[in-house]
Amino acid sequence: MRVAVNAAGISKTFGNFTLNSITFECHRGEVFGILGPNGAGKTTTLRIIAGLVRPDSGKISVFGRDPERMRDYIGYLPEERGLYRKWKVSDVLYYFAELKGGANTEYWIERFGMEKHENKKIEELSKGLQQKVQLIIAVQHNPDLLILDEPFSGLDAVNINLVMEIVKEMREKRRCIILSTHILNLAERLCDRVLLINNGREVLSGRVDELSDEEVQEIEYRKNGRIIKEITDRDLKDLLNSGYDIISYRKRKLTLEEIFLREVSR
Amino acid sequence: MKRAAVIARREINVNVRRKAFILGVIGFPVLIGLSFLIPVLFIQEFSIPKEYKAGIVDHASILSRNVIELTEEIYSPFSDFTTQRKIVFVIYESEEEVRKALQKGEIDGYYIIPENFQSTFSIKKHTKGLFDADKKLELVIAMEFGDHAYRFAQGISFQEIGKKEKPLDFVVSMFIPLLLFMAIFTSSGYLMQGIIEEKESRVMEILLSSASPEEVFTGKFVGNAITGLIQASVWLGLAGLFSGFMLSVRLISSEIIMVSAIFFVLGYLLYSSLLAAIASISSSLKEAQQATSVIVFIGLFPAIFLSQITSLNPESPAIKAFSLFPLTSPALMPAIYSAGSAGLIDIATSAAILALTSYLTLKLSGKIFKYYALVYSKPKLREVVSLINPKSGSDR
Repeated sequence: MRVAVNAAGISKTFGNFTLNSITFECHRGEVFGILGPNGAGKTTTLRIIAGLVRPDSGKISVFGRDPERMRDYIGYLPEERGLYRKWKVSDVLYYFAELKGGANTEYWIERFGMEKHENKKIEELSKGLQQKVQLIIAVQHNPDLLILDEPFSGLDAVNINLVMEIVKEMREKRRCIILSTHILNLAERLCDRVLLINNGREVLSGRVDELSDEEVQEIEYRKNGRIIKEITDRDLKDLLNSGYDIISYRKRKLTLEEIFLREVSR
Repeated sequence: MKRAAVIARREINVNVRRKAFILGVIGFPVLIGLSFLIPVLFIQEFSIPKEYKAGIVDHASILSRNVIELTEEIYSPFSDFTTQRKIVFVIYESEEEVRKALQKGEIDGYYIIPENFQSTFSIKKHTKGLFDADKKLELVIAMEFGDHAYRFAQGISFQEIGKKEKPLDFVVSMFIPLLLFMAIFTSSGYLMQGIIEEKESRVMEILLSSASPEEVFTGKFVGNAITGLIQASVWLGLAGLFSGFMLSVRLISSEIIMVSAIFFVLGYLLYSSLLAAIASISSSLKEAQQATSVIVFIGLFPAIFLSQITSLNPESPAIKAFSLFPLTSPALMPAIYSAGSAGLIDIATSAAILALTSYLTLKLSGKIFKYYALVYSKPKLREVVSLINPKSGSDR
């Protein structure tokens, strides 16, 4: 089955927050990004996909079935990180591996360079290392659907790179990866398609290369001794005639971040 | 349910390694034992009656006087405390007469000297309470026989024909239900603490992405029940050693153990369900403990007065009500039964009410856990109460 996740008009209300009729589809061999500002509804959407929360209305399926029945096929990294602090790293990993019905734990310990820390207690690890343990929990059973809620927060540049590599590897293995992140340049580099949500509503969705297809003019000029950089739709001739001291001018595609800001501020 | 078994095993492993568990298993029974034993020893020491009156039926016609009065000094093994006691022997014509006197409370016990006493040197006795007058009777008989006194003083054997109450039997009987009740509380407490810790540390989210809420709840429930059973077994073992070897008191009957076990299991179901529900809707351990303290107090209320139960009238409406009320019956009913004041119908009625309440509470608690395990804010009471409606869904 090519379609990994099918969400049709899913809604959920928690207190004052409402996730309002979100529709999307994610496929095998694809990295799908769910983007949006804080409180947009990203985590709620991911929890619904992981089978942790049921939508009030709408339909959600993972590989054609109820997500609650697909736990063994789903790997999940929650946004709010937590582990058994008094436990040894290996005990935590093998416990969750057993709950998932078996996993290739040794391989992933090595892959994340955690061999030295296997016998340490969780509370003895740095935040970054704890995050690695959680990532291993999410991927160690080789899930068909990997859900990562803010996977890069708390990681240094080296480990961000490692996570990106692993995500790409999984995509090559025809797994479906759904992630949320506020680091939009990483999302742009990693995601094939994105869904942008704001205040619980879908704002924009599509392929990253198509979304950022729009061409804009970027000029850099000096004004009152200050260098200003801006995107403008004015003609270059007009700009030159209006007496600007232009340093640079180029035509380029909008970044995901710019699209995001534009859509959110509407 | 394989995942539930994995979770249950993990709960047991974590709990039995807790320092609090190890300390509790060893320390608590010692503390409870001492709290029972010390007052009993003091009662023994300070409540020695000033007079002990015993009846004698003298079929061998040895004694020449109808009333014999003596005094004796009693030394306490625990202090320099010494007291004097008057012992009065009264001769009765027949065994029936002496039995009636005992029933009326005119005497504290009686002795029957058989016709063939001089060949058997054996005397039957029926004594009540903690004391007897064997040594003084030996002395009286020896005095009657003059020079042959030594023969009797050395060789008379006394055979108890009444059911003599051993001083610490009732202590052990009270001790076991109380220990089991404490095991209910500690294992339910571990369950509550576990849920809260997993909610606070946000592990619950990973856990629920690996197992269904039903599996997590069942695993935790069973794991903590087994922990409680381990704890109770160790405590019962220690109680057995303590009573059997150190105090030479018979261990409580298998019926009491059975009744205690039934109420332990049902009590665990009830209290664990309640505490798990509280943990599910609480956002911190402190908050949960505050909510739990009321329940714990109600549950412990009869246990606080456990040692008074034997002196209370078990037929009184208050005791009856407490023994049927599900929060108090797990501690009270085994204690009343062990005191010999409850019949099969009382036990069955109390157990049935407790079982029904436990079942309903367990179902509701499971619903609350499923709904609130991932909710970190304080829920409105109205929302929680709405889950009591059987038609309400438990979807988060």
